[in-house]
Amino acid sequence: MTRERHEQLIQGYLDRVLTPSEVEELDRLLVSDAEFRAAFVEASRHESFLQGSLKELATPGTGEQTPRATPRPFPRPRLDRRFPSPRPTLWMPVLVAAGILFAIVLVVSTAGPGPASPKPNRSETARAPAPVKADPVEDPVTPARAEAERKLAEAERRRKELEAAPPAPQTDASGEEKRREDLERARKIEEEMRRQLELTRPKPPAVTPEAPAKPAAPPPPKQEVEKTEPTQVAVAKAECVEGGVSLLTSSGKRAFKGIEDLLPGQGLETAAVQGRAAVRFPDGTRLEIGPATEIQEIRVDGGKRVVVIRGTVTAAVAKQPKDEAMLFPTPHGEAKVLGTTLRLSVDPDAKKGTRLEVLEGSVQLTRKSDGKAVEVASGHFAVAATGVTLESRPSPIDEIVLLPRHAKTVKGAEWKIINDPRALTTAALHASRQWTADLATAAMKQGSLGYVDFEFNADANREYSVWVRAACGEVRNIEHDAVGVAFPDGLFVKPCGFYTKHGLDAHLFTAYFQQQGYWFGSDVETPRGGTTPNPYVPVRVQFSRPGKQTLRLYPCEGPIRVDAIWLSTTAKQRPAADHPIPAAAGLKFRGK
Amino acid sequence: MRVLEMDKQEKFISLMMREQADLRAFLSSVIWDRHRCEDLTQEVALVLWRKFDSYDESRSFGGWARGVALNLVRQTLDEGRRRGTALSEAALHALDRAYEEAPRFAPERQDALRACLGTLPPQSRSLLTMRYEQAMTLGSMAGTLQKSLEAVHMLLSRIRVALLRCIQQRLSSVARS
Repeated sequence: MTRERHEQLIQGYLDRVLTPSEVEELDRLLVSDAEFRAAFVEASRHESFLQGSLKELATPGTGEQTPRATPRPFPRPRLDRRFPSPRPTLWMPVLVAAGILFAIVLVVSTAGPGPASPKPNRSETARAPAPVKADPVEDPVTPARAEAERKLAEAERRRKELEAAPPAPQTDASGEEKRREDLERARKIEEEMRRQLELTRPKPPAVTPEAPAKPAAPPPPKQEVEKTEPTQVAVAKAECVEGGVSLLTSSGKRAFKGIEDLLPGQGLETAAVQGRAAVRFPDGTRLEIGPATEIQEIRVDGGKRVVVIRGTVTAAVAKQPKDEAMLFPTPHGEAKVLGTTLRLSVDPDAKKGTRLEVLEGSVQLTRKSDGKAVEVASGHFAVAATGVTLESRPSPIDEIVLLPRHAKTVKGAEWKIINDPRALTTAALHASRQWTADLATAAMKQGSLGYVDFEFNADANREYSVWVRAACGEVRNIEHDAVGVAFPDGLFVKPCGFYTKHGLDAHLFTAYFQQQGYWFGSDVETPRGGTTPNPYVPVRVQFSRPGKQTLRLYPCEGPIRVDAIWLSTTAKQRPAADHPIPAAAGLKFRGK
Repeated sequence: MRVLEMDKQEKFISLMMREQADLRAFLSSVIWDRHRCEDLTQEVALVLWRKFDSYDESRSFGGWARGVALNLVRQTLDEGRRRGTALSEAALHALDRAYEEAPRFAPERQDALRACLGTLPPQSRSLLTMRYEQAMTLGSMAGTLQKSLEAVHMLLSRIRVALLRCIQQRLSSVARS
């Protein structure tokens, strides 16, 4: 199990799909576990090797038809510090060596004695290693600064206009409130423009760091690296997940092209129905932007700042420095985050306002109209809107999805987690023994039957329909297709006829033999008259107290495999085999 | 002087060629952003060349390169006033040591990879092509394949692990024979 977990963490890290808490787990293991470190190094080298070697193998001679990318000259001068656009990577040693040689010859011929020479100035840095025809180099700071100055002047003008405007008559309270809000907004915009202008101020060139004398003692961290002058640094990388995403820039709106860098001040807009985008910051913070959403702008100045005008944003925020909280200003308030997962829904209607739901960690939500703030903890939500009390309340839990990797305890030898490409997440719980229902229930009564425990949060006094997605194992037969589910702290709305007669408080899920592959089963009621098309009724369960609950999964008729268990307050009919399972409890996946 | 310069270049190229893949692997294991990692790899090479006169040949070139790389990683951190790496300082040091201690990949690895690729089903090979030859992100792959991100990650993980094991087996059988 530990080795599997290690593999999961390493592979997840290579694909950059780990959550912040998993990265922390990996970090701890790197420090404390030599075996894990060795495995990590090997996997990283293997990954790098695949990146270089597969490209090299993909030549016409090897039968691969993939067009080869032009090798990137090496080393290349960095004239700006934006993230480069996505491109294939190529590390063929000979080509790279040729690049190095060419670059070195250029450095030697243009910069004199090379390493022994004094530190070159900026122009040398830009010129020396360039093995390609140089692009025309212009100072990119000037237009950016001019644009920032123009914006600041405009913001100042707007603020002065509002300040000079006469107050609304005392009888018109809403008019005066609107004027104050407008003024406040204008001040913030002006402040932002000043900050932006400051960012465009030219910086003095830095110096080259001293290389460490010994590998074991790297040089001090504060030493600076020689670099070319930065222009606008990309704050994040955005990806169009589904169609209908626009990039909002100072010069207007344009269609988004796959994956692009986001520069400070740029925003995103998604189409009403299918538009979806993802934004990734260099520290691993990730935003998922739902349909009909407008992100007015994204900036990183000290802390990250994402202005949400309308729509839905789900954010997994990596731990931020203490004094640099990530901010989500909306028309109705502002969410302040230091490292968490949250979902923000913004309605332009002030009465509906901004709804903040916190999935992990805690977030401060401040209402704009009166400056009142509330701390919203994990599993809670709050709404900043006109006429709504600003308070943190527990979020309703409508959907709970349990996957093999969420298994808290696997007791006994009955259940094992296996790979199965047909499973939702290619992992399944497999009970391989050929249990009959009688043998399994006898063992269950004695307490000797193995089980899997899942832990999850649920609301009290709500009916959850339980759907178990399973498939027959090695034998597809009516006698090898059932599992039992128990909730130690739950109450079945209708007891199970089969288990009750054995004096057990569990429910049977069966009839998986009827279909090849995984599908949703449930309890079975014999259809009267034999014509009922859907003989399956949901098993329903209620919990007497809110919070942590346990589900225990037993084999009943094996071999049997289970790849997902879904508790839902909404899905009251047996879902079709390929029914998509909703994202729940921070899980993001779709059914096949 | 010219001859000396040429000697130095050759020596540097030879050392760099030997270490470049490892350096890149090291950087990609500490820098979260792949493109930033690629840029940083080039920055490291440039700094190494400029400082090559101060390189102590009794020490490992790889260790020296990683030291410079770590310095640049920290510099990235200071510059942006945010974490350029997902890992802690302690983990970075531990990783540096692990790279020094772990045995290098054998040159025959390329042949083993070629043979192992031949054993993969076409579907797996196609996934590898998308990921490593076409440099597609997991998100774009998920969109193209009409699968969830999670499923693409799981498939890739399994293929990578299977390839790694296949290569290890082939290399050990070659060593035995």
